[in-house]
Parts: sequence; C-alpha cells; structure tokens
Amino acid sequence: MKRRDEVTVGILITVSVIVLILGTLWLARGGLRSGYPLYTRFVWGQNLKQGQPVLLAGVNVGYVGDVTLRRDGYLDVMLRIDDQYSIPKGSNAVVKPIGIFGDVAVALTPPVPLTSASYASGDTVPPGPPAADFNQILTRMDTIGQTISVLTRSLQTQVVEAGTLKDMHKIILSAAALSAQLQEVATQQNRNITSTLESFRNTAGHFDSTMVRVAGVVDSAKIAATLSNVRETSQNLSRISSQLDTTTTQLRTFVTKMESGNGSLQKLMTDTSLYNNSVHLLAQLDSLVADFKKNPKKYINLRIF
Amino acid sequence: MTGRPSQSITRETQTYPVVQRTSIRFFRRVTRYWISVFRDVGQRTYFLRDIARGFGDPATYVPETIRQMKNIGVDSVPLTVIVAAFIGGVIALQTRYQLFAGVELSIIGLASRLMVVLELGPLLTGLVLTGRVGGRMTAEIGTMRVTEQIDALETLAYDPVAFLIVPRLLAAIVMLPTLVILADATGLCSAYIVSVHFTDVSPQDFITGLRLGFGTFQVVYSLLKGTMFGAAIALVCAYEGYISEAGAEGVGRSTARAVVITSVTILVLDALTAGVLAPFLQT
Repeated sequence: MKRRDEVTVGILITVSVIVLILGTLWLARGGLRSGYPLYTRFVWGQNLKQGQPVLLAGVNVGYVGDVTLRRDGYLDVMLRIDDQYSIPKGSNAVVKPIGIFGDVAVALTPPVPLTSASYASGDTVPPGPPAADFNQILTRMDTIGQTISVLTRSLQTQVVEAGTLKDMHKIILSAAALSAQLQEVATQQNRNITSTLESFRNTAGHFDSTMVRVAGVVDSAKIAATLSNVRETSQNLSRISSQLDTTTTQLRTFVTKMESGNGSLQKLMTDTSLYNNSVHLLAQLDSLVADFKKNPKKYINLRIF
Repeated sequence: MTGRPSQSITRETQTYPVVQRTSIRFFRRVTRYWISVFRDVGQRTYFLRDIARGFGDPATYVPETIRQMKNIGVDSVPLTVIVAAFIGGVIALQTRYQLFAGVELSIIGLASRLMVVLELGPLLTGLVLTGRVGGRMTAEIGTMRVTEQIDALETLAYDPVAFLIVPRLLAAIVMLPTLVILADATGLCSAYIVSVHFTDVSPQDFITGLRLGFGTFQVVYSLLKGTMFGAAIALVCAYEGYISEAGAEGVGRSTARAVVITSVTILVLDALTAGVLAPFLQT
C-alpha cells in the first residue's frame, strides 16, 4: 500500500512537472525549438521582451531570444530563427505592434528584389525604419480629436449661437407645411384623376358594350353574302359594259354605213319625197275619212237577205 | 475562543458601586476580547514553533508524508480537473459572448490564460481543496484529539505535531502547486476546446491570444499562490483539529470553523499576493 502510494504520488508530480515545463516553454517560445541566432539593435522603448515572435513577411519564423539593455540608448536583441527558415540577406528588422493589446513582434522585411543569399548564424540584421506604435497612433487620434473639437466649437458658434439652427428649424417647418399643402393638392388631383379615369373607364365600357352589340347585329355571313352579290353584280356590270361597247361599235358602224350608203334606209332618212308623199297620203286619207263619215252609205252598202 | 472567563479576575462586578458597574463591565469585556485574541496568536505561534521543531524529526513525518500526499494530491486530481475544466470552458464562452463587434477574437485566449493561470486556477483549487482536504484534515485530527489518541502519542513520547501536522503541511505545500499546474493546464485546454468547437474562434486566434504577452513569472505567480494556499489549508485546518473541543459536536464545530477560516484566509492571501506581486506581472 505504501509503495503504491509512492508510485501514484511520483507519477502525479512527474506529470505535473512535465506539463509545467512544456507548457511554459510552449507559451513562451512556441515549443522546444532552438534555432540559430541573429542579432539586431533597436533604440530604447520598444517594449521588447524574451519570447516575442519574429515574423518574416508575416510568417512566424522564430522568437526573441534575449534582450540586452545598453547604456548608449540601444537594445541588443538576439533573435532565434527556426532552422527551417533562412532570412534573405538585405532584410531589415523593425519592431511592430501586434493587435491592440500593446504586444509587439520583430518583423523582418525581405529586400526587393529578393536575393538568393541568406544571413548566416550570428549575423546582424540592420534595423529598418520604425513602424508607428500604439502611442503614436493614439497621439494621432488625439490630434484628430482636438481638430474635431475645434470644428464642433465652430459649429456651435456659427450654427447654434448665431441662430442658423433656428432658421434651419423654421425652414424645415415651412418645408413641412409646404409639403403638407402639396400633399393635399396631390390628393385632390389624385381624386380628380381617379374620377376622370373612372368616367373614361365607364365610357370605354359603354363603347365595348356597343361594339359587342354591333357585332351581334351585323351578321358576318350576311355581309359575306352581300359582298359576294356585289362582286357578282360588278362582274355582270363589267360584262354588260363590254357588251354595250360592242353594241355601240356595231351601231356606229351601222350609222356610218347608213349615212354614207345609198340604200333604202339612207334614202328614207335623207329623201323628203317620201315625207311629202306621206303627207299627201294622209291628207287624202283624211278627206276620205271625212267623206266616209259623211256619206257612209256611199261606201258601205249592207244588205241582209 | 472569545468569551472565555479569565481566572485572574477576583472581584465580581456586582461588588462595585452601581454607577461604576457599566463602565467596568464594558472594559472587562473589551479586555477579555483582546486577551483572547492575543492568546490565540500565542497559541498559534506555539503551534508554529512545534511544527518547526517537528521538522527536526524526519523519521517521524517522512513516511506519513507520502500517504498524505496521496490523500491530498492524487485523490484530489479528479475534483480539481473537473472544476478547472468547467471554469476554463465557462470563461471562454463568457468572454466570447460578451465581446462587442470589432474586437479581436484572440482576446479570448488572452483572457482565458490570464484568468485561469493568474487567478481562478490557484484560487478555485485552493477553495475546493479547503472543503475536501481541509475538512477531512480537521475532522481526522479533531477526532484523534477527542478520543485522546494525541494524548496517547504524547504519553508515548511521540511528537504528535511531527507525526500529524508536519506530514500534512509538507504534503499540502507540495501537492497544491502540483494540482494548480494540472488545473491551469486543464482550464486552458478546456477553454481552447470550447472556443474552437463551440464558438467562431479559430485555433490560430486562440493560440495567438494565449501566447500574447506571456511571461514565465505568471506561472511562478500561480505556483506561489498554490503553495501559499496549500500551507494555509494545512496550518489552519490542522490547528483547528488539533485544538478541537471534546465531543462530536466539538469536532463538527472545529471542522466548520476550519473551512470558513481557511476560505477567508485564502481569499485574503489571494488579495495580498495580487497587491504585492501584480506589479511584477506587468510585461
């Protein structure tokens, strides 16, 4: 029992110590990696400390191995770079903030164009131009805030105290009243348009019904038959006209022949002796009739038995 | 301990003139209170002296220490892990859902680490073990007191403090930090799992926040708290059991008082530690 207690206690303590060491190393350095050292130098006040990440073009390639404070205003910083990464020669190092919580990282910026040579272990990476830190950003924001404050005060003076705001308020009220009037006019016009449309709709309805009624009265079959008759009549008229033309031609020929010829008919038409004879005949016939009337027995002698 | 009649008082209050009795009664009550306070301090000082003397007898306490380490440490692992896992998960969830839009999600890893490692890991482990280990310690020693087993040890020229108190103190001092390590690791793992699998936090965000601004002193701070809480549990609970009054009721009262005093002591120590050491936590 005692031996078992010792074993369990030993296991617990060993596990705890391992968890403690590995966990601390992982949190502080990202693991048990050792890497090769590079050196750089920054001015004081960079908020650098051991374990902060080293970034190459945004990729975590190592961590800050050591920070030594110099008396001449600089920090000697040892960077531990993972063995799998090589830093292009000509890269420079800057301290840049990460996020909004004040933590920083050492950012290595490769040269442009990229060189094939790399820094060897123990080389010194030149520092680049410092990036804006959080305090500088805050200072800038503070300046902007002051400017906004001045603008606000000017607005207060020009707009509020000078009465512009009241004028604007009145304008807005007038605009609101005008808008209400326009709204009323629009409502009235809308009402008129609605009634007009209603009348038009009624007229159109009547027209539609009339058209329907006309369509009911006019029988399309009758119209077709009428049209057919008209067409037939037209054809007959055409034929008659043709026949009349022929007849006219024949009659003209006949008249020409009659006028130019020496026949009986021409003489009948042009010779007056027939007329004279006929007049004489009629005169004789008249005297005969008169005589007959006067003396019928002269001419009629009727005897029965 | 207050209200115990002092045997040095010889003249009754009623024997004084009526106009003096009220003031005499008041001053005697105040005097008795302060005497009891100083007496308690003296008793605890003697107790500490006995403990220090008990360290000189390793043959007595070393074998018992292993057993106490098992009782205090190994047997408390499940409870500690469960509490830490829930605390880590709840911290991650609460932090995530209290964030307003636009805040970096890596703050969840940062907040989880700071709360678990610096505060809740050691504190909750100490409070939980106060109930489980401290209460048991007081009850065990108190029962031995009321059944006169401690008197028997003294009769046999066996140092009861070296046999009963020192092993528990050593075990608590060693095992509390051990449990705090497990609690911290479990809490952070739980926070990671909850954040990544039950919220929209990506693993990279959480790990970035987890490692943001980390300093090894934060771990030392956590372990220091664990050590102090372990010592507080062992000292207070063992003492309350050691001076336990006769009877089961006395043991129960001692146990309850031990848990209360230890809990308050842990909270006070936590505040003092933060007040003294927090400036060193600044990165």
